[in-house]
Amino acid sequence: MPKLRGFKTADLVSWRKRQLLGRALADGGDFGKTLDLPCGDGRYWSVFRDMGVASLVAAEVSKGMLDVASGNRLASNFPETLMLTSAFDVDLEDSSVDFAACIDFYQHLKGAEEQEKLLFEFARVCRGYLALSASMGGSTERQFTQSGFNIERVYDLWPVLSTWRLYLLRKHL
Amino acid sequence: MAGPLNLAALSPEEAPLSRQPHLMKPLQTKDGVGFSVIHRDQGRAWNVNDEHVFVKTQYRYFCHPLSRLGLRMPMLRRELIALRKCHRIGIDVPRVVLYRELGDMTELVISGISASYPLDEALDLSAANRNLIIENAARAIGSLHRHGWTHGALGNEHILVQPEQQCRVNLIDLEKARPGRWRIKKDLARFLRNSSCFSQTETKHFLDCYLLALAG
Repeated sequence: MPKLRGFKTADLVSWRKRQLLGRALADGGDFGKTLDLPCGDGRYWSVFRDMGVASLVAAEVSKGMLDVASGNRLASNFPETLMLTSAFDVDLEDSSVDFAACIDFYQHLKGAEEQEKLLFEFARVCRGYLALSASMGGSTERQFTQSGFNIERVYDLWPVLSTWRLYLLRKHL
Repeated sequence: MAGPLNLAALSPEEAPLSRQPHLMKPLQTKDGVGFSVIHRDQGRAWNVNDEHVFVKTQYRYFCHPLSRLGLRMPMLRRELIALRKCHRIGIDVPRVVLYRELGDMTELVISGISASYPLDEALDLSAANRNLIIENAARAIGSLHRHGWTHGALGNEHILVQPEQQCRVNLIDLEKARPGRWRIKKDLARFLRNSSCFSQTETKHFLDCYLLALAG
């Protein structure tokens, strides 16, 4: 739990999101090469490390965010690689990562077309699981299946109170 | 969480960059804690058709608006609200591509305005269109004020003119824009003080058009 002194609601939300990502990683199980895109300021790196991820590729779309993230590295080799790339055209080979995480990005995209493009790109680079945060909804879940993923698990941020969800998706075999 | 900003932290071999965003506005700090930085990036990296987008990243950059009873709010959220408001009332402003908040970090991505010039440069470009530019600028500012909003930093550099699009006038950098009719006079005075590119006749013409726009 976050420290109570100087406590902010955002801290609680952030703590809960980290907890859910940890569960998704535990359920995904396979920690080969892992991708965190967009990594933001690197707020979830400690979760990846604690869950035993050895090879983390942290990627960001924004140069400003990436510069901040570079100052937040947990060790010289963690994350292993920091890269600036478009989320819609990731600089990685097909099926090159075992687990990908995309948190707090998908729901900010405008329109289904953009969201589908992002999902297809993750389907291309990912060969195992994708942990993706989104607002709950039937159309969202349809998009996942159309883009080549099955919903394995769903984790609610605050059941009933919030529409924020973390989906653990598995690529169709 | 965010550590010190290190603009040259990534070595080329570590970060295989296929694109290199251009630093538009160097790092600004606020109270020695927060910072703000602006990059110009390729539009296709953000899945938009525009050639360029502008990415504003801020850390612990807050304002305390009266509408939130003095509670803090990221400055970029205020800009987002102002951009949406301007868009609704028909004032040309950059399009919002993406907005996200990650704890104390905030990011706003807006579209670039193609073939545009700051007001003073646009006025020097083509003498024939000076009147049209002045009228369009007056209309945009008057319209904003008519709806009870102020820009907060009106100046030549924050008014972009597109000479090839019938001298369309765009307002940019709405970070300080906010509602409040009592601030309108000050907003206009700031603009007239900063826009020394107008002659006396042009200032009078601007004010006539502005009053017309203000009356609706």
